[in-house]
Amino acid sequence: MRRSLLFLLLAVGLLTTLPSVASASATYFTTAQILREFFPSSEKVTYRKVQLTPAQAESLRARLGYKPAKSEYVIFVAMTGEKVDGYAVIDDERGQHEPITFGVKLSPEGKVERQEVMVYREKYGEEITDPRFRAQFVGKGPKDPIRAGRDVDVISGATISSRSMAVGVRRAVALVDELVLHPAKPAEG
Amino acid sequence: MLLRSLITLGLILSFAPAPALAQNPAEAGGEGGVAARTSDEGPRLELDGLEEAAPATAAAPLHAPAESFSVRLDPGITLSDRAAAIIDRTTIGGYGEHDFVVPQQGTTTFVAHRYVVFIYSRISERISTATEVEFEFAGSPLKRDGVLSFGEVLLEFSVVDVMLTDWMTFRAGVILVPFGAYNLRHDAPAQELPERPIAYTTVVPTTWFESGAGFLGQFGLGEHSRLTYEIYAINGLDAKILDGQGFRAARGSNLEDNNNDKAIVGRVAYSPWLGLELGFSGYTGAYDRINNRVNMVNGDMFWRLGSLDLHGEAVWAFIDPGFVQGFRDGSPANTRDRVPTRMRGYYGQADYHFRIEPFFELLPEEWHDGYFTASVRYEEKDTDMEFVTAAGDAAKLTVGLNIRPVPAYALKQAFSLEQNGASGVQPHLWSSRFFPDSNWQYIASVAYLF
Repeated sequence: MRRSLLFLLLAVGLLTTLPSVASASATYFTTAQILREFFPSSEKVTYRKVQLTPAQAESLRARLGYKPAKSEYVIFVAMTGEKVDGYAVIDDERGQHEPITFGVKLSPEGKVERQEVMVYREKYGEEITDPRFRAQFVGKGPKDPIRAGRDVDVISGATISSRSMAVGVRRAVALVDELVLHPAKPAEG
Repeated sequence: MLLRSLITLGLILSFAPAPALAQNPAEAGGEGGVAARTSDEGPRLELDGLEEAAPATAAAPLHAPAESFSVRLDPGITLSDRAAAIIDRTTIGGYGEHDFVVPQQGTTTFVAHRYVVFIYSRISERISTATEVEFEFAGSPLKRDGVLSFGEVLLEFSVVDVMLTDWMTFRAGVILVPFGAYNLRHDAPAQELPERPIAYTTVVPTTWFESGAGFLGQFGLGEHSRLTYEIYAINGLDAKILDGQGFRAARGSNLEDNNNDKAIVGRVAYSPWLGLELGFSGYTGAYDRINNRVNMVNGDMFWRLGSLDLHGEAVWAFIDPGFVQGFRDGSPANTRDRVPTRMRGYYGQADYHFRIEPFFELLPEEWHDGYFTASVRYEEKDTDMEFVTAAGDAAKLTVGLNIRPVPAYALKQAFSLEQNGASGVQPHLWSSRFFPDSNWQYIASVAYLF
């Protein structure tokens, strides 16, 4: 029995010194890192700060079903020369207990090309960082529902985080469409 | 013997090649080496003046440097600083479930079914702890038949995890026994029907918890496939194995084991793609002091087809002939009742999620993404396959409809028909006596996660 315990301690000791150890940190990307990941071949990435007008806020509310939490959003724009390579939105969406920070890369036409979790703070539900979950968002555009349980499969055991990501990506798509690609013309006075 | 098996498993797994997991922070861009890898590449970032606009949390490291974990141990700091150092890393949450039951026979009643508090905390970067404290039927005191008695306040899950590699975590404490999928995912807000499957409160005594230790983890098999595993040595079931109750009274040996044998339990699940999971579980352990054993196997399946979820499980238990005995000398628990030798049970359930758009438009704005779920479940249990009895044999058909205005709150209702073995004939839905002999029950329930 004593020998078995010694073996157990030895095994645990060996395991903890293996080179293929994982980092327990759940910060996957900083803002600069995600933008370089999203647009590795672009010449530059800049941004547009958009202060929501009452009309835009109302239009987003109608599209999303809720009023956006912020009054100002930042849309990152990747350029090569005068050509737009794509857009990116970095935002937070509430998980079960904590906010999940995520990034969405969109094509010049406003379709999702990639989605990444940047900071995950919950104890459970980190399965939403799995590539097979994130791949579901690729190709989604303003005309897609992007709703968990409809065109986005949720992960068992990470249901709330899955739904949070669907809500977040849907908002990112709507923001780029509403604020950059098809901005409402100001009312003539 | 059991420890040696665990060690061997651990060593084998430790020398297997580490799979490429999703978004490994060390590769994808943590604050460490990845930043160095990517910082010289990519486009020029013209983000001056943006610091306030970009999420500050994304640019800041999530966890403070490891040294800060020692703050709470510093004898020189104030109690409030120590509390702040702990609270900063601790998450509190939980769930609750409250029912209103209308039986065909008996009294209608409200039931304060369960209130569970979660406490999660990081001890260090790699070590974390998670605990669930359950107050069942409002805890203590419990009033039954007009008499106040001890109620139930339980640690049903209380573990400390050590993350060894991406694919292996060492867990010790009060383990949620990985036998079948239902026991692992039993939280009320995660379920669509208010009642647990009858075989999965008896043959698999959900919530099944035992003291023990072992390993869990996940392997990526290609881009879309995943293999998850959990394997533990636990104190295991004792000899309180009875027809009707199944293993319910034999679980939960947190203070002591009734023998020197440690049970081994594990579950392996294969998911070829998101939305499909196939699981297999096994349990073996002696239930008394003369090495009479319980061996159990369970298969589970979950398949998501758009808005339709199909899931089900089947369990078989093979028990060496014996008696309810083997507790300490003189214990009244040594009743010497006969122990059933075989048990079985299963359920199959379909959940269909749908929306009625005009209805949700009428609701407050935060509920516009809500949805309905319609469910149907058929199930059977047999806690002694040698005899057909009223308590031990049952077949049950349940239909349910719930609404979730937000994912974390479910208002459920279910209507069930249950036929037992009182007539001496094995109950089945397809027998001519199912509908005439069944008793009905209606339950409305609220379940919420916070």
